[in-house]
Amino acid sequence: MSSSDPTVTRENDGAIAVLRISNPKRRNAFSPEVRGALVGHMNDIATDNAIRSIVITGAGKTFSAGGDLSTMQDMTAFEGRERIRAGRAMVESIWRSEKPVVAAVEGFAFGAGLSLALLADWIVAAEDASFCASFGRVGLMGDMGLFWTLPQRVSAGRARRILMLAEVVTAQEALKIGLVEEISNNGKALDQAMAKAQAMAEAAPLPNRLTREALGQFPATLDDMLAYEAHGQGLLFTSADTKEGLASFFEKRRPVFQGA
Amino acid sequence: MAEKMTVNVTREGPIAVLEIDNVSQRNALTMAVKSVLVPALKEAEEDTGVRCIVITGAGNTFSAGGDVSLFGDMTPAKGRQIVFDQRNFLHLMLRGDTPIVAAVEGFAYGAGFGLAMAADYIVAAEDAKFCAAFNKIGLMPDGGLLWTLPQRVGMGRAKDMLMCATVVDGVEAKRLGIADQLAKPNQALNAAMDRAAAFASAAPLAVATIKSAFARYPLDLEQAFAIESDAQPALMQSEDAKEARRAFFAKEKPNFRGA
Repeated sequence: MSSSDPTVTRENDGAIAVLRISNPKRRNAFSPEVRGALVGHMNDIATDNAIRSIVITGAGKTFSAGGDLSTMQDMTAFEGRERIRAGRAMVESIWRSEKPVVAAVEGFAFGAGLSLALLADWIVAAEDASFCASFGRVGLMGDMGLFWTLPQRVSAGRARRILMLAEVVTAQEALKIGLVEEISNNGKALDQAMAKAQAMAEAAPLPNRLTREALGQFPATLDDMLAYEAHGQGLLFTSADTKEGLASFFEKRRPVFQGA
Repeated sequence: MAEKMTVNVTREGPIAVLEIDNVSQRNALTMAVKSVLVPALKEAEEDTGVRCIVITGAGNTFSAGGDVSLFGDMTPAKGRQIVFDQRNFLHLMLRGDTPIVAAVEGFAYGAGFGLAMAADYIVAAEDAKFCAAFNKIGLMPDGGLLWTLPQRVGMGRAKDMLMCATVVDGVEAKRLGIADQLAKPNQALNAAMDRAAAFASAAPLAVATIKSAFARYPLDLEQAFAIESDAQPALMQSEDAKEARRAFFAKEKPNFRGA
């Protein structure tokens, strides 16, 4: 494999796994190879107890320009269906992950790149980042969960403009409308994403697994969520981490959580 | 002297003010507080003369959260029951007929944050602090926050506050949609009373119907239509709707009676 082949690399930095999309010939376009590599890493991370949070970013100066159009030529309807089903596996590997995910976006998060970023719990965008559901430009609709994730972050009106008009959203605008949570200087999105991932890694993991699972079921009714919090909290009250949390609270020091 | 640990209830016209008064524990929602808060809420809710409820905290703070002293000696069943029982006030607030305004100074932490978010309208002092502090002691959010917070802020912000226990001040809370109105320090209750007067003069049956619809969120389109088509004909026949039509043509302010 040459360094220009599409892939996703993984590096660990303490308790944080950094996944980097690399498809340099096509601005990190989302080829089947990239998708498969991402799912593979997510599956490995799921069982790696040393990892507490995940950062997803793009190699070079861009996040991902979207689906790889060169791999969509002459696709039959059923080949397309298989592709969407494979996309679903990737969406679920991130959405159902029990570890929090931060996206660091420089340059383009277009099409499937936008969908990928929106699967993250927290998105850091560099000032010159831009976001676009560019699907319509090639006669397609949004996919990879975009119809579900986007309206959880922006208003119904804005979601329509983004999905139906393929409007390009700048980083500043993205922050204002809630599409991203944080802005960085150009070239600094990864640094700031690492800081947020570090905060997530230091947080108590067990309650966050339950919280992430509960919020992953949205939309939900009041009583579903009240039942969820009662069941979950009952279990957590007796965890070693709650004992540590209470001890640190009364001793006025920082807690050290073990995930037990 | 009997230990003072209570909820002070006062009445200003159609507005009932419930002030959590457990200052030595920064208005923590102890069993004792809840044992007074729940019947006080129920009484205000059932009093048709009360058109709006204001919830606030004594001593310049809203509520620092749950009673941490209880948490050390817990079994799963006991813990579950304590959290489950919070629905006694959450249901009264979220499923009741009467609009609720929260006036937040100081801390709205943990279950206190949950209490504030269960209000229909939230006034925050600029220096108020909101935090889902649960994670700091190894717990998950409760007090309905899994349901209420994502309705007010985007999922990214909600996850950050719920998973990293990020503290948000009043100014930021207003920007994010956690608070609906900002007040100068020490002025949250005054501002909340002004807003409560507006809620109190709104047509009560319509307000109750709207609250009931929001309590059933998320609604799909069919459910939303069903609520409209079930409730609107009754509202059209109400005395208040007649009064509103009269006042409209007479160019007067309507006087609603909740009938």
